[in-house]
Parts: sequence; C-alpha cells; structure tokens
Amino acid sequence: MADIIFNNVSKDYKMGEVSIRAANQVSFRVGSGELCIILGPSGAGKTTVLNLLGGMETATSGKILFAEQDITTMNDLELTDYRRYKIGFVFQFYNLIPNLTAVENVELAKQVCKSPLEPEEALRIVGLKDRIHNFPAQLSGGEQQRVAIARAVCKNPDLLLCDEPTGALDTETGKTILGVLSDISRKMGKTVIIVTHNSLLVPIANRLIEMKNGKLVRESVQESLADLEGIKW
Amino acid sequence: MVDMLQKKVFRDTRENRWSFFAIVCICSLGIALFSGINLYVSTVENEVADYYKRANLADYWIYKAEISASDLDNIRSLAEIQEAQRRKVTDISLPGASGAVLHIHAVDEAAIINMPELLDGSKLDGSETNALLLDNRFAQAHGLSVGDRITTGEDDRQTQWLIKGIVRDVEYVYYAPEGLTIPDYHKYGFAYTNASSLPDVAFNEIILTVHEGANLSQEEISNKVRETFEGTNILSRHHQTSYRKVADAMTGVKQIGLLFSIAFFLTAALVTWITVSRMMENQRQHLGTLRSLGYSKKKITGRYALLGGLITIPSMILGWVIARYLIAESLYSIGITYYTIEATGVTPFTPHFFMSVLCVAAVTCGATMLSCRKSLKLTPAALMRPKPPAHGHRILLERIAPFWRSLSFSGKIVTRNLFRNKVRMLMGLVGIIGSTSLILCGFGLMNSINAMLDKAFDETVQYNLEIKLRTPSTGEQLSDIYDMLNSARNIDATMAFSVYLYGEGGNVQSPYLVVMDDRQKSLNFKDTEGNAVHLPEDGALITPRMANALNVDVGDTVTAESLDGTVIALKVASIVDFPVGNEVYIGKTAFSKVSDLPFLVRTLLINGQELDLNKLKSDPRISLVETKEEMRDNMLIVLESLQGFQVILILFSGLLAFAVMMVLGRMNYYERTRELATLKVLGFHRNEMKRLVLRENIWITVFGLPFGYIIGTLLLRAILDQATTPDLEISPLIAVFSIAVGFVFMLAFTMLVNYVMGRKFKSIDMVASLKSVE
Ligand SMILES: Nc1ncnc2c1ncn2[C@@H]1O[C@H](COP(=O)(O)OP(=O)(O)O)[C@@H](O)[C@H]1O
Ligand SMILES: [Mg+2]
Repeated sequence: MADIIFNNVSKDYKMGEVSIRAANQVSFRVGSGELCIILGPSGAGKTTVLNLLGGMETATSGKILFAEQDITTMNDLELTDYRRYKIGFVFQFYNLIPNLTAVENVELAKQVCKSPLEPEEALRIVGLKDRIHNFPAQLSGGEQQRVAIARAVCKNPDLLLCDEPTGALDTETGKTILGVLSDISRKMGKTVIIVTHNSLLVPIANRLIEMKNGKLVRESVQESLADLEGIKW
Repeated sequence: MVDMLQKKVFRDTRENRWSFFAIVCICSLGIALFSGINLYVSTVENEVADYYKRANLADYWIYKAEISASDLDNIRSLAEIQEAQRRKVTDISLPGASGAVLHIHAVDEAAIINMPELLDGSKLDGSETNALLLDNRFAQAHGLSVGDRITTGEDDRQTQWLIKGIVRDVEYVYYAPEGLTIPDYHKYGFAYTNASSLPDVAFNEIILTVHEGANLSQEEISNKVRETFEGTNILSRHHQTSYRKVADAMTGVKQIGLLFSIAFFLTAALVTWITVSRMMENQRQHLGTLRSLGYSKKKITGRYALLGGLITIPSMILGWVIARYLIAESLYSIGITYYTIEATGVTPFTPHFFMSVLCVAAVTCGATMLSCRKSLKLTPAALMRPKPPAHGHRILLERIAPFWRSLSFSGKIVTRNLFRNKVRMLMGLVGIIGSTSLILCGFGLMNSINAMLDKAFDETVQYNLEIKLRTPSTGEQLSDIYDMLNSARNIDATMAFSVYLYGEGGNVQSPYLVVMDDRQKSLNFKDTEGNAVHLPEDGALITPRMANALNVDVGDTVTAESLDGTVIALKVASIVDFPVGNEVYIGKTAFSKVSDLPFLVRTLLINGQELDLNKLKSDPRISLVETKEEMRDNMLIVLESLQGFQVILILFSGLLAFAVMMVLGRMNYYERTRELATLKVLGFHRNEMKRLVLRENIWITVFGLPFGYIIGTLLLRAILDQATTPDLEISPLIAVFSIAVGFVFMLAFTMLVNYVMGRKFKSIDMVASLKSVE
C-alpha cells in the first residue's frame, strides 16, 4: 500500500554556531487515499515535514517511507524521479511560470510524467475552463491556485502535498480550493496532505496531525467527515 | 562612518560578486584599450617631438651639386629662415662589411641643426681628420665601439677612420633609405665627420629651419628658396623618410586604435548599462522597503550610486595596469626596436585615461541613478509588490500559426521566453554582436593584409627582382649590369623621381613619378573593375587613394612639380588598383610629350631566375637588390603595428565576449531561480531544465552572429580606411575560415557559460527559493 510512514524524523537547520531543530522526533502514519491535515501555529515545523515528505529536503535522522520505499536514503537522481512520478506540489504562492499560459503551465508538468492526464482534463477537474489561455498575471489568485492544483493533478501523482494552499486567498475562494482538493482525494482516491494553521479546516480531513515547536502533539482520525458546505469560516 | 544603507550596498555587491567582477572586467578592458593605445602613441609622439625640438630637426633640406659660402649667406638672409647650415653629404662603403654603406655628413662648424646626440666617446672638435661619429645602431650591428677603426673605399683609395663617438641622429629616427621598408642596420648607417676629412666632396646640402612664427606654406618657402637659389632640389620634413614614416605610423595606430577602442567601449558601456539597470530592477522590493522605512529618495539614490563607484574604482585601477603594463608596454617595446630614440619609458597618464574613467563612471552611476529614479516614482507599496509581468499577451511569432504549431513544447517556451524578455535579449544581442564584430575584425585585419599582399605581389607585380641604382644612369652606362642579367626573361628600366602633385582645392601629395617603357611587362595594371590597363600614350596612371587624396578623377589634369621646381602637367588617364606604393605611373611616350627631361634609369625591374644576387649586391653602383619575397616580407613587418593590434583585438574581444556571456548567464540564472526551483520541484532533470532555460542563450548567440559579421565588416572597413596611407591601401576582407572560427569561438563561449550555469542547477535550494513572493 502507498502508505506514508514517518519514523522518528528530525530535521536540524544549522545556522553558523546554532542549530535549529525544525522537526523533532516526528512519527506518524498516513494511509493511502486519505486526506490529512497538518495543523499548527506558524513556525511549528509543518512546512519542514511536508518538504521532507516531498523530497525537497533531507532529514537529519529518522526514516520516511512512502509505499515501502525509504526516501531518506535516496540520492539526488532518485529524489528527482520520486518528485517527478509520485508527488504533486501546491504552494501558498502558486509558483506558476509567469510567461506560460495557464494551459501551458499544466502542459509543462505533463511533459515529465509517465501517465499524465490531459491538461484540459486537469483544468476541468479544478473548475477552470474559460481562461485557460491566459497568462498567470491575467488571472486572480484563486484562479492561479486552481492552475497550480491542475498542474499537480495533471502529473497524476500518488501524493498531493499542499502547503497553505488557501493562505493567500480570501475565505470564499479558499473554500472552493479546498473543495477541489477534497474531491481529488475522495473521487480520485489520491492521498492529499494539506498544511495549514487554520483549525477551521479540520472537519474535512480523515486524519489530523497537530504540531508545535517541531514536535507532533496529537494525531487523530475522524470517521465521519463534515461536508465542506457545513463549515463555518 | 559607513551607514546601514551603505552597508547594504556593499553586501549586495558581495552577494553578486561574480557578476560584479565580470562587469569590472568589461569596464577595465574598455578603459585599458582606449587609454593603452593612446598611451603608446602619445609616448612615441612626445618623445619624437621632444627629440625633434631638442636636436633642432631641419624644416627643409636643399640639394645642389655645389654650394658656396655665399649661397649659404643668401639663404640665411631670407627673412623667414631662422638658421641654415651647409653640409657635405656622401655615401662611403665599407668593403669588408658585405657592402655596408655609411651616409656621411661633414660640417665645417658645430652642428646647430640636426645636432647628433652623443651616446659614447667624445664629440669632434673640428681639428681632427678622418675621425667620425658613428650611428649607434650601425655600430651595434657591426660590433664597433669608440676607439675602433674602420676602413672605407675601394681598393687603392681606402681611408682609415677613427670612431671618436657613437651617436644617435634626429634625421634617422627611422632609417630606411633607398626605398627600404624597414631599417637594415647592418647595411645602412650614417656618420658625421669634419668637412676637412672629405676634401674631394663639395658642399652639396643645406639644412635650414624656418622661424616658428612664419606661417608660410611649403610651396611658398620652396618658391622663395628657388628664387634665391636656382636649380635646387628642396625637400620638406614631410618628404623626409624618417619624419614621414614615424608620423604616418603614429597617425595610423592612433586612428585605428581610436576606432577600435570606441567600438569596444560602446559595447562595454551598453552591456554595463543594461546589467546595472537589471541589477537595480532586481532591487525594487528593497527600494520599496527602504522607502517605507522613511529613507528619502535622494538618500536612496545617492547610496545606490555607490554601486557605480564600486565598479568604477576597481575598473580604473585594473584598466590602468592593463593599459600601462600590457598594451602600451608591449606596443612600445615593438616600436622602440624600429625607432631610434631615447627610450624614456611609457608615459603613465594621458587625458584619454581620465576620459574613459569618466565615461565608465557616467555609465555606471547614470544607470543606477536612472533606474533608481524610475523605480522610486512608484509608491513604496507598489514597489514591494512583485513587478507585474509584461502584459504583452502573445509574441508575434505565435500569430504565424503553422510555424508556432510546428514547435515542440519546449521550443515554444524557449521562443516565448526569448521574445517576451526584451531587455534580456537586447543585452545578450549587444554583447554578442559587439564581441563577434570585434573578433571578426581582428581576424579580418590579417585576412585583408594578406589579400592585399596577394593582389599586389601575385597579380600586379610580375617581376621578381628589383635593383635600385645609386645614381640615375643612361642605358649605355649600364651595359655590363645588363650583361649580368642576360639570363632574365624580362627587364624593364624605369626612371623615378619625387614630385609634388597638386590636385583640386589645395590638396598636395608627394609621390614618386615612375616613367616606364610603354610596353613594360613588370606591372600588370588593372582598373578598379579588374580590366587590364596599359600605359597610355597620353597621361598618367594613378591609384584610387591618390585620386581620393587629390580629389581628381579620370580626365582631370594635375600639376606635378619635381624637387628642382620643374613643372609637368599630367592628365589622369586611368585609375589603377595597385594597393602598395606611393607612385604615379607614366609611359615614356606620354612623358616625352609633357617633359623634355632625359630618360635616366633609376630602377631595374627584372623577371628571371638564378641570377647572381651576391654579385649584383657587391656592385658599387647598385644601392639595393630586393627580391619579391623580401619586399613582401618587409611589407608585413611594416604592418606589424596592425598585426600587434590584431592580437590585442582578438584577445580583448574574446575576454569581452566571455565576460558578457558570463554576466548574461548569471543574471538570467539569478532572475530565474524561482522558475528553476519550480521546475526542480516538478521533478525536471537537469538536462531538461537546461533545455528549457539555457537554450535561449544559444539562440541569442545564433541571432547575434550574422549581425556581428555585418558590423565587423563595417568596423574593419572603417579601420582600414584610416590605415590607408599614400603607400598602402587595404580592402576589407574577412575570410570564410575566419568567420567560421569566430562563430565557433562565440558558440563555444556560450556553451561554456551554459555548462557552468547548468552545474549550478544542482545546488538550487527549492525550499528557500519558493518560500515567499520575491
Ligand atoms: N531554511 C531554514 N533555515 C533555518 N531555519 C529554518 C529554515 N526553514 C525553517 N526554519 C526554522 O524551522 C522552524 C520551522 O519552520 P517551518 O517548518 O517553516 O514552520 P511552519 O511551516 O510550521 O510555519 C522555524 O523556527 C524556522 O525558523
Ligand atoms: Mg509553513
């Protein structure tokens, strides 16, 4: 199974003499197809955990397993392929390529995948139909984030990692974005991990991981999921 | 006190140190080139001018078979004349030393004009006989020193001379007599002695200086002298070999250097301007923050102008070191082997240096301040927001649907990147075009010189040996020389003498008038369209550069005046394309129609094999025996200054190209780290990223190359126009091979930079680059 297992994972950032422990002995498990939220105040180490899982950073100690593969022992090339075939990333600030149109940004991701979705299909999934030939600068924040999600989805990855995907958006737009992400998890059966500091999002998740000061403080599983519409922001 | 803002600028500089370093390199190369060549020229010009003044170089030389003391007094009494002295001048040969010839001057009073400069030994006091002051170059070449004795003259009429002193002389800064193109110190030297030591020789030369205030033209002075003193040849400084060669060489170097360094400087300035502006553009968010913190616009602008200073000062120092110790020194050390002057060393500074430094300061400070001002017009809030990408929806090429569809995805991205980022493309293009044109110009110089020599010596010149006679002679007097040459296929006897040619609008030239047999086979003349031209029965043939200088065309008549004042009217019959030689050609028939001067042989042009050159060389009547190969080689040596340039040109353009590519590569890289990090997160491999991001550099280079070729040709043409002297005309030509080498060179640089930048992709920190909106 494409489970995610964190086993005593720590990450230290060395800054000259001092060393900051951004993740401290973190252990948890996320099952395949789950929608998991990592919650915590700013500076808690959420992004660090997500980046470790995404193969963008290497752990100082501990083991991270994805689909029974230990990603902490992978070399640069293997990590690149891991990101390429297994992971889709969504950032707070979208990170679209400014001089590619929406559809081209999605197509860019398609270029490097084995079994990608069609860009138009991916854009349809995220609910963007009309403005797909516009450049990022011509799109609103919500639309840009949809393009970013479409870019991640188009790769048809096993795991979608979202770092504060609604952080730069107003509540209403944020809500629709979350709707898109939860649909992707539920209808397409993808594992989705969302990092946020907003506890109001909690009800939509299967699993909740709470962090503080680099440590995991609570891990809980919810059986009955609230509908997005029912959530008060 | 260094305030925080200054500290920030210093720290920015340190972070960008490689781009910064490259910009400093570009600027210092500009400064170095611009001032280095000028340093060399100024040094030589000043040294020579100083020397002319110190040793009181004559303004005019007057020749007559015999000059009496009263003749001299007559000349001296002319109002415009400051000083005049008479001399005995003759050639004496050294039988022992393989036909070496000493040009000996004898005076009967202390020399006050053309004063020899004593380097060793002592001066002549006027009483000794058969003592001389010897040319130091000649003495060196023969291993002679003060106290040695030399023997001159033929068998039974030998004279022993005591070398009393070793001298340098202002008339012989560049001693290449008898039509030599470069000095031959072994063969030719000069000497000074007392008049009493040459009892058999009459006074035959007057040297004179004109009052400094007298602004009479050369023509007026000549006329005045001839009125007083009939039947004389008069020669001005501008006809004097040494003076003319030094002046021509310096003018050539100066003008070529100026053109080339301006072209170089322009490229450097443009690249610097764009780079600095881009650096400032990348600072806009910092500017916004500073503004919101309450720093005044003036203060911010002032502090950022520091960046200009940080570029200018190291460039100034580095530029000066390169100019002084590399360019000027190397050119000077070549020059000084040909110019016999006191080597005082390269002048450390000329105004050109300060001018170029000022330009660099203006460009760097100007660029920072201007972009600062432009940015600071916006509100701090607007500044802190990322710059909205240009709304230029689609590039033009996308409208050409078939073309656009045929592109691969990455092809589309590369194309769009190229055209949507105009500043980036412009900077790349300017850099590439500038350096390509300079490199091609460097290669082209050599190609053009060789092509010119080929044209002159393979196509036009049909003889392979030239013999010059010491004195003009009739054919009968030369019968035994003809006997020596009886195996030759063709011999053309020619007469040649110096003339002043007066053209339209007061233009004067001083070529040789060469009279040849109408059916001569030595020079295969062609007009500018390549049609064969024979010596006409009326009129003379001139070269295009002569036609230009005199502002005349076919059918016009020019006045030729020989040095003794005889005037000949010459009709321009045709313009012939012969790139070397300051000569006007006329057939015997045509000459006899315009002048009654007898035909006296001065030069023999010979086409033949297996001639006994040594026998010819040892004949006392023959002053010069030169083969075609020697002429060609000597020509190349004369062009050494041009060749020296070529090396500097290629070297500097190469460095410029490299620095430009480096700056371009690094700027592109830093401006796009976010994009690159995104690609990396998406799982792109390094070579896939390279294809998307670095390929555009190659395209820029490829676009730039043809334009570089065009500009290079134009530059080469301008340079060669400047290098055209009455003696020499070089048409611009860049050989295909050179173009290929130049292009490959530029492409190789681009790929090298791409390779270096590509390696950096590995170390892109995805997390850090994507953390927040930059
Ligand atoms: N590249 C880094 N260098 C040094 N410290 C870092 C770096 N990234 C994060 N940190 C530190 O690690 C801690 C956790 O950061 P982060 O994971 O970004 O928190 P969160 O995403 O929960 O806000 C913070 O204290 C932060 O200062
Ligand atoms: Mg975070």
